[in-house]
Amino acid sequence: MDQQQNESSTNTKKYWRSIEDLLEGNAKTDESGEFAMSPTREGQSEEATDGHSRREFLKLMGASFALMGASACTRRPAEKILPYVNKPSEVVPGVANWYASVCGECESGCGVLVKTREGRPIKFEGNPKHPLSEGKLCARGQASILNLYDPDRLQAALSPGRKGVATGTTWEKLDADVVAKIQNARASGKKVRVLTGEVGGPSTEKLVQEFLSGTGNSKHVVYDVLGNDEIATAAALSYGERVVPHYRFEKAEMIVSFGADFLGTWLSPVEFGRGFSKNRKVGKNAVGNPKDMSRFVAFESVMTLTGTNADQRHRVKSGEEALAAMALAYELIVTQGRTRYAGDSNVRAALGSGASAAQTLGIPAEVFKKTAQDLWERRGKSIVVGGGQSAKGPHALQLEVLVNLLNSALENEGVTVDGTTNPARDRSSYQDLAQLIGEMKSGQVGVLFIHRSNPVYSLPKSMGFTEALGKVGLVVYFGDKFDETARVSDHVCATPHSTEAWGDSSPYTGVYAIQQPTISPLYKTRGFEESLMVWAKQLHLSGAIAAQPNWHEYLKAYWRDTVHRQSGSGAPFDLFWEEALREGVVLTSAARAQTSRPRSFSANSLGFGGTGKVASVQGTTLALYPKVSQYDGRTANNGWLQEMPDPVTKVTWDNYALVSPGMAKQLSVKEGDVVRLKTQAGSIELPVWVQPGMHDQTVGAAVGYGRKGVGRVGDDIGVNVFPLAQASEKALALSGLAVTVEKTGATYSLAATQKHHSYEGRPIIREASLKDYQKNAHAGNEHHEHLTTIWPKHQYPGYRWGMAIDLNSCTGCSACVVACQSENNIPVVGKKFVLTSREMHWLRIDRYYTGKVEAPEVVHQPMICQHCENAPCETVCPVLATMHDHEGLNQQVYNRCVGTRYCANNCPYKVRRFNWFTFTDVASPLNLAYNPDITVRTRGVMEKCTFCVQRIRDAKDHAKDVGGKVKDGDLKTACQQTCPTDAIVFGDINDLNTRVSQIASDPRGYHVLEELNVRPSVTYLTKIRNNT
Amino acid sequence: MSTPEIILRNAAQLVKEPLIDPKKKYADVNNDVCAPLERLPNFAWWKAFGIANVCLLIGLTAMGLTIGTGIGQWGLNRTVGWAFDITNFVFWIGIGHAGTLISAILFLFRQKWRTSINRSAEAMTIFAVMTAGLFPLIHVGRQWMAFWLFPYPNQRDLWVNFRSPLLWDVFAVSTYFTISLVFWYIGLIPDIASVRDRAKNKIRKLIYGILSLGWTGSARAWNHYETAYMLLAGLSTPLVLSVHSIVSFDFAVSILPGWHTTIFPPYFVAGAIFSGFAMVVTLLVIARKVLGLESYIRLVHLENMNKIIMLTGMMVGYAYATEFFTAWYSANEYERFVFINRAFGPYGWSYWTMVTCNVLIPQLFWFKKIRRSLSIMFVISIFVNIGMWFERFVIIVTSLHRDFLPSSWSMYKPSIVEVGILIGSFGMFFTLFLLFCRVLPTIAMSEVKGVMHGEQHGTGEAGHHASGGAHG
Repeated sequence: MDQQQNESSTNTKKYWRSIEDLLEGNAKTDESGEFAMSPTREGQSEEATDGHSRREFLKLMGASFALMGASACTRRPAEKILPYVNKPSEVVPGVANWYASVCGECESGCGVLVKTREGRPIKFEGNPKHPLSEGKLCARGQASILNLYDPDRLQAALSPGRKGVATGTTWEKLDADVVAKIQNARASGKKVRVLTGEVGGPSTEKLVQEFLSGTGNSKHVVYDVLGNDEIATAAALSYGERVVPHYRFEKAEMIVSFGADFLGTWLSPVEFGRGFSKNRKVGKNAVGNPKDMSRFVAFESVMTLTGTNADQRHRVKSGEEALAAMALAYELIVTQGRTRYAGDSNVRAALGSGASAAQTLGIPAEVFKKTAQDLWERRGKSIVVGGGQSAKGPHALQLEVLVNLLNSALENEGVTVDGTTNPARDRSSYQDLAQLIGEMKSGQVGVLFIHRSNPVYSLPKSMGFTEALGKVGLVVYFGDKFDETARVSDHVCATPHSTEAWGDSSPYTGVYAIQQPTISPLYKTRGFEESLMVWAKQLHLSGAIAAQPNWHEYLKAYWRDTVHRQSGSGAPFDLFWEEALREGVVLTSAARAQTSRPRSFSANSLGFGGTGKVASVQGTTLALYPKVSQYDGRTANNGWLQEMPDPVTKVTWDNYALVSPGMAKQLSVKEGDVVRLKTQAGSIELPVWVQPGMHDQTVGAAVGYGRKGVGRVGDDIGVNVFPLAQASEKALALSGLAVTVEKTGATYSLAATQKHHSYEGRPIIREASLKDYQKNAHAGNEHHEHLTTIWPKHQYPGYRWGMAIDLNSCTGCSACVVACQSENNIPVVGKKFVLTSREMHWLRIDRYYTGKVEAPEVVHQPMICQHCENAPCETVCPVLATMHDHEGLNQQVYNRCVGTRYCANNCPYKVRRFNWFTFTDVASPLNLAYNPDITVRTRGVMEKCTFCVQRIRDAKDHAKDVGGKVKDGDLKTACQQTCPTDAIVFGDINDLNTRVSQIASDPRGYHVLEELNVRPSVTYLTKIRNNT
Repeated sequence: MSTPEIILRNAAQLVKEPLIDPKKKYADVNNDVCAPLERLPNFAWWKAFGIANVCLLIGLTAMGLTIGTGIGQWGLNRTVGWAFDITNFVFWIGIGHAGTLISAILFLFRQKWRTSINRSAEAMTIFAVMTAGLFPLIHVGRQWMAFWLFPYPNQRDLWVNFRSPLLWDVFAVSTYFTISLVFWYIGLIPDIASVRDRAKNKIRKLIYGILSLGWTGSARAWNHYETAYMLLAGLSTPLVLSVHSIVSFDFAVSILPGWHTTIFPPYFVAGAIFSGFAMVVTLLVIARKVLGLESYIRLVHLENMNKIIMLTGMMVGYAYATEFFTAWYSANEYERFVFINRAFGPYGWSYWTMVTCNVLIPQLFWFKKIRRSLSIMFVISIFVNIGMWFERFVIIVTSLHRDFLPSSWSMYKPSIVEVGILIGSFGMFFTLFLLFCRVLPTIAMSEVKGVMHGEQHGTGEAGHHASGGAHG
């Protein structure tokens, strides 16, 4: 249908191989060899008039790829971008160039370095200088590069004319029509509206404002379905200003979360994960006190990644999170009579209903008592957070107000909760959206632009958005897919990937980052801002918009006028700009000072702005939640993310109804049984996944699935659960929804990578409580095997590579899984083969439960090749395809491997992966995402983690160039590099002064399966729980 | 009853049952044994050959699919790297054990009853080893590179890993195959000469003439022949024990609980003899009927084999018990778990199939009536073969699917392609065996003559002289 038409305009190759393809013998329809396709070729062919001979030259001369970097944007005049620090003046083939930019996957705005090889972006890594990411990225950020090469992306503008057919058009025709329609609207007094998600860039925001101010009756409406409307609204009530504060987990020694999945999907998970982990490390890995760590108490309904990392986790029915906050506030302020509000009768009165809250929740009062005590002891050094999608219920606003109360009462305000250097995440407004829909319905809107938002997909039917669209004069959609909203639009402006366009971001007040393009657009796409510039010109608008020839100049002008001035930099702008491009981020002097002041809490806000009292919720409730891998579904066509096992369930390629073992028993359903979920808004069918730790009266279902028109990978994967959301006057409720669950009798296979969830008491996981650890650093790790051997040991004369993994730091976020996939060209095999346990991930995260199914304790254990000294795989290979090298690496020689699989059988860690079919023959241009330093493996050979041998090679080459040995810390494996919590440390374990040697010698260190005497090079550190 | 009468009766019991129908004369032997070679095949043969060919074709298709697209056609996964492939390999290697045991070890132990069955048993060995040899070649991921398993000199200075049991397999199996083939062929020479001499057409005479290597039947030739045969028998004997010991090293040398077991070598050898004899019984019960050789392959032969089946079955049963004892006694949690999982885990059904077929059912052979009942022994021999196939399946799959790290535990389900290859292996084996029945004497004529009732000769060696004389 439509999809086929979409496909006809893209490539015809399959993304991942299925048996059927192989049987059909699909030949490789590669139009462009690996390097033959210079990334500049397509974009330039149309527009460049004088570039032809030079391009030919470029193609021939590898060295001159340098120029391509320098002239990455092909429109004339050349727009200069500059690589990250100390770039050699020319690009050397085979040597990567790094460009600082901003990750475009979500609104957090993490700074990234884009690794390019010969002008081709191949990997995202965090920008170490960026205050958010500090060199780290999440799984979705790591997977971003695959979106650039998504073969199903729109390659040119479309004018579907709301007919759902991908009719091609030219930009000229599209521009003419849009301009004419805007002029019409202006003439007839109709409104022009821009609906966007949270677009972070200050220049973009300014541009939109200027554009709209020139078009008469117009407004910029921001709404993000997973936005944080209620936090901003609550802040307005409590503190008088709509703000989403900056949470500083790194300063918190006691953390209480009501549903907020801050390590996975809430606001800025990379930054939060990084901050959270700083106070979780003990022993030789500690940042602060080596004998102490923070305590984290979670109250949540759905078992989230964050919940799995809690020291204590209490189940709360979805929709009753506010009640839990109430119980805690009551305990702290009323019962224990602590904090400055203890004497405030207004507050006491408002908290009155908290007296019975603990009982209503079914949580022992002891829990709140202890938590309140702990919080009070650490007042000013604790943090209370609440919200997130699974807590976006009927009392979401109340929850946020109570969280504000708690933070103010605990003197966290201005310390761990910073309302002054707030991120630009406070624009999302449901009220504005509702108003917009009203205007649309009454036919007042002449032109509607939709950017970074997919309302047709994500808004429930009851809001009537799709019908309202019918009454809009012209609907212009900006997107990279012919997706749900695109189909009902008049025009679709194909947008470029974040690596193809200019942009900026200001994640916090005073922090500015530039998104610079690292490749010229692969297709005839045009960014949102660029389009606005073009139309502004054609509309003859005045102001800054008119003064600048294009978006790049506009952006530069904004930086000249605003950022340069604020930065306090004494350098002339040109130098400042070059420096900013190199570094990727500019901190104003105010931001560098990091001052924040407490806001004063208004007890009046405990009236909750008249939205009702905090009350319990009757019956079974449904919580819609975002998954770490999919978030709101915007990158559904990304195979890496679809195949990334969910950190909690380990299921790939699907969403499902999460039910507790208790509820499963009650409904007499088991894993894979399809159930019908019926809410007031609608009903859908989903397979069941029985999840320990779920509340017995809450069903969880992930949003972001069931997409249409995103491409061959993501179309119709899972079911869209947004239609179950409940729209009301004040908010869109995603959770706490009254739901009925009934068994349908159908079954469905869910592809999980881990099917056994207990470690059976085997010594592969070692853990201890903090108390025991404080008494004895060897706690939980007392037993060690002392094995001898009659054989001479291996000699490692130079380096010996090793790794240490701190189970206490690892949150299971799975960024490393995708980073490894990106770095090492690991294929995606598809649901069919995940079902038969043939996933190819070199790095997996084993997740085990212990304790009661109602309240399991969870441990995440990253598992990779252990590079054993006495490797069982090495002895059994008949052709010596796997060998031990003199630096301790267990090498896999793909060329020599015949594929007996004996090594995999004999590997006690089961980390070896076999190429069952040809998995690497991907659709063009996905092959461009391959790392040229790594071989792609043919079918029939074994592969596994190499400790990123290409990076070792690179670091050694570099060390040789500058003389001396590889410096500790210069060499990072891909998993280590991206790990937001620094759980993974890699280096030379021959040198006792390296960080890895230091950490590995911690009393917490142990080897998994050390009794086998395989002598692994990976040391794990015991998990410590601060739960007693 | 008087004492002398009792003595007489007991004495009568002491007289051994004749190994060959006493009515048969020397001349009858050649006539009877060569008859199937000299007439057109009957309908039963065609039917059997047709079915075997269809099976072979199914197998070839499945193998083609595997080689053409990838090992992914099988049900294997990241946890279970071997299943049907190596199960079939070990199964067929096991089948290939009875032949050499009968021809070499029983020869050295002067077991005269071996003469009627050794030829077909050896043929079975050759074909079983050929079938088995197929699996290591096709089970690898890149079958076109399988020759890399051989240590051949090459410019790239690539060499094989002599620490790998798979490499030991390569040598063990190829040595075993070579020796068995030579031994079989040496034994065939006088008989081929007989066929040559009976040939009435030129081409036939030429072919058998070449194959008989100019055998004249002179005393000098017989002398050399006997010596060679004796030496080869001596050479083959250790191979019977070594091949399956080495095959068992594939498992025993690994570190996987359930594989890493020191009793594997004798346990595997006993199992191999067990399954080999069962297969000989299966084949001969049919062959003696179809080829009309009831006078030569008599109940006494089958009964003797059934006794061996019972004995080796008990040895195998003892090994099963020992494994459990060792697992318990070791106090190694991984080891204990594997064995509990083996018997009571998701593949428990295959374990109990194995125990029933291999340990319980052969106990029926305590009864002489059953030992001598063609139909019952046929059924039991089939059960033993099923049981022994499952033994290898149990060892391989149940040990692999749940090993050290529970996170990687997984289930294996065979694909239709794997089943096709298993069927194909039977097709290949039976196709070869049926062809053998048509072109070569299925009974060692020269040897049988040495044990014929009423003739004067006491030993096997002497028999050769006698047949030589008859031949002249």
